Amino acid sequence: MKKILLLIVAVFIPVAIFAQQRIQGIVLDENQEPLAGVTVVIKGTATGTVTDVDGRFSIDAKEGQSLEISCMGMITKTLPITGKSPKVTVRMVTDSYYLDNAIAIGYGTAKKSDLTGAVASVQTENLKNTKIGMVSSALQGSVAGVQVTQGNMKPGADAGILIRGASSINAGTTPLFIVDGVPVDGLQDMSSSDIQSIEILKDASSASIYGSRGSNGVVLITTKKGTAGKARISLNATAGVQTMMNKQDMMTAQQYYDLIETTGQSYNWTSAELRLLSRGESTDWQDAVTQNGSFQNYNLSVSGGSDKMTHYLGLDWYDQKGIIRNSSFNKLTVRYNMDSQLADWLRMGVRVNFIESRLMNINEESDSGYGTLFSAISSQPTAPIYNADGSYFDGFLNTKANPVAIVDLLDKGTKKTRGVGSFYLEFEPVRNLRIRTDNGGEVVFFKINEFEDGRMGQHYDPDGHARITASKKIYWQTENTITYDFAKDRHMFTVMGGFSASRTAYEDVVADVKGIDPILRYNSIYGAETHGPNSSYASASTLVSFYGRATYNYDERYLLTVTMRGDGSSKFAPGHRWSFFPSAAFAWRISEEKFLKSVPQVNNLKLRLSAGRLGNQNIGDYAYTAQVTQGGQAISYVFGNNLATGAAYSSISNPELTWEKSTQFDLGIDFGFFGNRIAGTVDAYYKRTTDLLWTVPLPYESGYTSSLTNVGKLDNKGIEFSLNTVNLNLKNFEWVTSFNISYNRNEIVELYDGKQDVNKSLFVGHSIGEYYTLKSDGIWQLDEADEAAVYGAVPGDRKIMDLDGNDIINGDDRDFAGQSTPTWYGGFGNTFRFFGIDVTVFMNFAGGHKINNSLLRYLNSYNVWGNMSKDYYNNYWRVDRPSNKYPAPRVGSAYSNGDGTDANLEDGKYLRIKNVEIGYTLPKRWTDAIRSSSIRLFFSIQNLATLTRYTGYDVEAWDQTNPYPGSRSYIGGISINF
Amino acid sequence: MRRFIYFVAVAVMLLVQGCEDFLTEIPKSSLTPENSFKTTDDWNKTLTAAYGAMQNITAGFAAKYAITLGEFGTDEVQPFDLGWAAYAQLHYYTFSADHEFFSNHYINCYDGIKRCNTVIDMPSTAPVDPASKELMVAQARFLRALLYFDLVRMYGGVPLWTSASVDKEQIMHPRSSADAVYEVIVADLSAASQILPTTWPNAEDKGRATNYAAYAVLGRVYLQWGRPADALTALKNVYGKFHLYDNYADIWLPANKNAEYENIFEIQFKHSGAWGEEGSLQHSYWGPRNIPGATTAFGGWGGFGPSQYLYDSYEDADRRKEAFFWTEYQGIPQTPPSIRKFWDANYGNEIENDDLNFIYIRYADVLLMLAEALNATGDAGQGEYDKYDCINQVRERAGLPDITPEDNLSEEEFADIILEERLHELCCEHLRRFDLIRAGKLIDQVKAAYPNDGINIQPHHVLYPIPQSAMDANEAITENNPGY
Repeated sequence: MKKILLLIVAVFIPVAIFAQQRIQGIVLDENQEPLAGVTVVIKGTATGTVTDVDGRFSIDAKEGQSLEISCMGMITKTLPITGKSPKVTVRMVTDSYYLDNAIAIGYGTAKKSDLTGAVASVQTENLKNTKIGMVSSALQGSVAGVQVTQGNMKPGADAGILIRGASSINAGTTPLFIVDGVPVDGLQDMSSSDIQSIEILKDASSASIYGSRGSNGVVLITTKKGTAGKARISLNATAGVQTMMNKQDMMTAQQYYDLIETTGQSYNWTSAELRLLSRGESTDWQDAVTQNGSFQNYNLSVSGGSDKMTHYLGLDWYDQKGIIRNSSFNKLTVRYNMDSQLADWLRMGVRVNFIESRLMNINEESDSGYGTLFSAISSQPTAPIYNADGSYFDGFLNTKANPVAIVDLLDKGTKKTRGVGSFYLEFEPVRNLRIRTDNGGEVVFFKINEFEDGRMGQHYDPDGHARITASKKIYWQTENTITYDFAKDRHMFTVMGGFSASRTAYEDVVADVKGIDPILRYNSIYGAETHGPNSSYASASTLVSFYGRATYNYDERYLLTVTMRGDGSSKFAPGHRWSFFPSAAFAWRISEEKFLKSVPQVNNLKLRLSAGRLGNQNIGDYAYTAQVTQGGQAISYVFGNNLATGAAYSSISNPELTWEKSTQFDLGIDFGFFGNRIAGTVDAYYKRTTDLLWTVPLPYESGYTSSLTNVGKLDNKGIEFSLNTVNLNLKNFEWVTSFNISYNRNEIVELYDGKQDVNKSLFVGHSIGEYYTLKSDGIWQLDEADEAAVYGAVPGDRKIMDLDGNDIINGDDRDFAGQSTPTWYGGFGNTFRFFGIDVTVFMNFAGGHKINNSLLRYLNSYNVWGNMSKDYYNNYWRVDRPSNKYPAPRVGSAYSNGDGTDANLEDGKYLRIKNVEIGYTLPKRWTDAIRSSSIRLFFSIQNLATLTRYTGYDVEAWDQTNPYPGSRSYIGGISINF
Repeated sequence: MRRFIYFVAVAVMLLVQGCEDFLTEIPKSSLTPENSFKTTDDWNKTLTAAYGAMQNITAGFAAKYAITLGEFGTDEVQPFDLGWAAYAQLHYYTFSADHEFFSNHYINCYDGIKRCNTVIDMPSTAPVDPASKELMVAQARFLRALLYFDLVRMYGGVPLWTSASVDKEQIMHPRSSADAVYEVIVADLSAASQILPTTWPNAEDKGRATNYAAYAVLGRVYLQWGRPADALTALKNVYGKFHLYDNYADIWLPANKNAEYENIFEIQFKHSGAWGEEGSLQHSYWGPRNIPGATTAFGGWGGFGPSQYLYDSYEDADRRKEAFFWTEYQGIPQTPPSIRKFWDANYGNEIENDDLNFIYIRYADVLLMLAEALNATGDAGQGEYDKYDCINQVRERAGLPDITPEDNLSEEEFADIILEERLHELCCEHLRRFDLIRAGKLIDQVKAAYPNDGINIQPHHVLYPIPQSAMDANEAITENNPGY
């Protein structure tokens, strides 16, 4: 509103006549780089000029007049001339909705104005809101309809991405990631500074060109190319520290002792524990296994080239030490991109990416008692870390391992070496006809070296245990397309057709030894005492596709896109391998119609409609055939004291197994008002998945528990809204806001055989992941003893609601208790720039879901296996202290840990201040002195605060019991451009 | 033009064929029905897997479910690791049909039945000679009977699957009555007893089912079914064919595997290179508790063990009181005493990887069953089939005085003595729960053994519930057992 007023004021202020003066200025972009070719005119006159290569201009104007500064891809800026402004520096704000931007759409590009489908472009500026972590995390909160969850906080972990809701039950919900035309498994290996653009194809029309694999959406990443002309060198250095968030408040040793003694439980206190107690000490196991993490990232890119050939070289080193001791991740990324115009009719290019990374992992066994963080939370606080002789204390309950021994001694490194590359040749034998062949592939080597030292505790082999896993994945593809553009009068056509084939082959080998020298470990297993079980595995899959796309543009007003793709996949049964994925989309650029063209406030108004079909084949290889497994525990046997190999059916055949399909409709409006200072998109979609690839439970009596079958229907409906505004665009102060919010409703429409539910875990009319549990209703109190006795309970037990009133608590008393995936989520960012300073505050949020905080089953009920929360100690039910919060510490008390009930469900909604950043760009005259074009210093706090009712380590964590704790980071950095 | 169409048609056909070839991927790391079952050896491997399934319900990696469901909630074994709700619920009888042990055990049983059915339904085209085929089918039927017996004695009537074909249209089988399940078990065992040899002559076949095994198990089945007269007929075939070791430890001694001296049928285990292969977990589960270093120092996990009630019920003169129990191990007192039946002096210090066979049925059990059947049928017996003789053979080994007609025991009193004798002889061999149910004494004995635990055992607890997830997966199962 304010900016509208400003505009009005600017227009209507009476203009006084003042003396002519010469104004000299320089126009810069947001990164303080000079902008050439910017038009500068005196508003309301024909007088104007254009900036030179260094962004400089000079113009004569009178005080009281205004300069209107405009440039393609930038929001126009108006500067009133005052008496004091002979020299001005003008900073432009990028127009993120600029309509001439080329957008990658898969097998080609299109102008943003010509798009007919729901394609969201991620502004690379937004990626900078995430300093630590992978590119996937950086997408969080930046695009409507794209839900990003950092479910694992360990160094180097990819975030989960869900586009427009979960549209599959068993065949995966991960979108297809395509980097420079090559599909990849995730974004873990990307260096964000190599990224030119990220496009997210959300609707059927845009994604159907990747038909077979598009039903979860497509993430297209284009990496940077060199630009002809001046060589550019960019150097970024970032470093920071991390602290643990949400440490759980556990009982002290004395409280633990008191509680155990109160219950009369027989407990053999070891002398070491009694000594610790007598000294009034307590072991804080969470502190003992964690530390402040640290992080550094260095990045160098060099690019440039001539008219005929351009180069881009990117180097990136990322190194993070986690907040759990001895966990770390580092990664070296090297990228080289080259494009060359060999002749008028021939272009070629190569994309080469090499990555070497190393992850030192924690023990991720979830609730087994050996998981790193879980063992720390649950170890009794009375236990010392070390015995008097300095060895690790090993007197834990339930044969748990010493948490400190685990972090000290567990050696579990994953090394990944990965090469991805492609080359293309593009011929243009006649004008506007392009024939392109793009061939690429990927080689990934994994080596996981594990060594468990015998000193880690009784769970582990006393003589040491080493395991080596080596795997190799090879992927190749060939993509061949032919494209023809032609235009006649107001009609413009583009026709593209193509063929592709690809093959993925995977193999691995696992060697396992015991009784191994702790120095040699996995590096020489020959001398181990026992070898085996050793194993190996191999699999492969192929995909063949034909595709075509035709676009028609009438007078820049009416746009039509028709796409067709046919895919054959080796994963399906013979006769059911092929499927076809058509789509069509129509767009009407209302703003180009006569009646709106004359309205200057409306820069863009476009209505989009699309419909189409997409596929999903994201299942294991060979699922169509019955398989017979040879060997293994309880399959092989012993006769005459000699091993005999057995063979048994491990899966049932699925002779009709075929593609999962989703049909999607999309209605969208793009808008841009007031010189695109208010611009955004609204989309509504309806996606129905049919023939779900689903591991349908089979009656156990058949000897199988499930079988992959194409059944059922699943709906996702949603609305997405995103808005970018330039709130203030003054001479020395800009304020830009971006906001997006999405709502998705996921609903199972049909199961199979007319069932209304499957195993009481999936229900018609409800979302996937809907909780269906018993209802807990506090604690049985003393005056309710008679009622409790009906259910075999006594006061102090958890009270479960007998919903059907038949005096038995069983499965019939379950009811719905909320869903596990958020229904709404989004992001909200504000950037302020004044003089050389920029301030960014970025938040993301999600809600509408419940989290089953399974850690609470140990923390908030009597758990003779280890420590409990202080909250439990203060609030459990006691005869002399009746509580309605936590059950009494009674062994055998039914439902006390809340399993099967809603007692551990917590509201999952949150608002997280993900990034608060302040940056300072050094004045031009300083940077000129060292011939740098810009130097920026910044300081950022990541995860400053999270507002949520969830009580666990991190509201986004997938594993509640043994998560990697979330962290707050304090980061500083510098970026220098030449 | 016609030539052009022809050319295009051929090109398309070649392309389509090329694509189909390119799109055909055959599993590399497992077999398929198309490339398996081609030789006698392939079929032998299938039978081997049916034997392998027995490890899951006795003492293999997945046997935790069978052990706990057979032993917990009885007077002889109690869990000590009550922090694990799964254990505590079984002890206190607060479990529901959702208890994961039920579904795991149930799945294990039917997985084994599927493997047996594959062999039993061997097609006539299978490259197996008729004599071998007959023997293989007989073994598979024997094993199927054991698996169904495990199901029927725990859950009552369960759905019957007796065919290898899995027609997805007819995959929901309703529960059969317990009697119908017993009929199938009896038919399988009877048929097997007619075909199986009394002993397998070749050393490499030791461990396979024999006709003695079939008769002995048939006796156990009939008794549980409440048909002692039929049990007697079956058990008579085994009488006198086996012996009792003088030394109790010899029963489980790995060196005595498949000696066919006292042990009639043993589930085979073998210490292996690594955990999770053919080793048994008996030593690790039952070994003495609270030993520093636990399972790696010949101790056990300590999660459960014999009750004090069990130990106290022995007379001091009973040799088994010492032979079967540790009251202390290496200076660590065992209260209540832990069981020492399952002791592997060579590999007991490895985690769940000992060399002990699981003794599925042994002669002492047969003698006591004979006594029980003779007593129940009122068959006074003659000479060698005398019920006194049968029980006294077991008692004499234990150094206990004979029971004689002069003791003037009523049939009921005699039955009580047999039940007690079975407790003392066969404790911790996964039999007690079913013995007590058969005798109608489960509730009384649980209350007698743990008077202060407030155990809420009800009459319906003699059957476990059909697992909830099995009910959910099979819509033909409409009713759970009463009380659940």
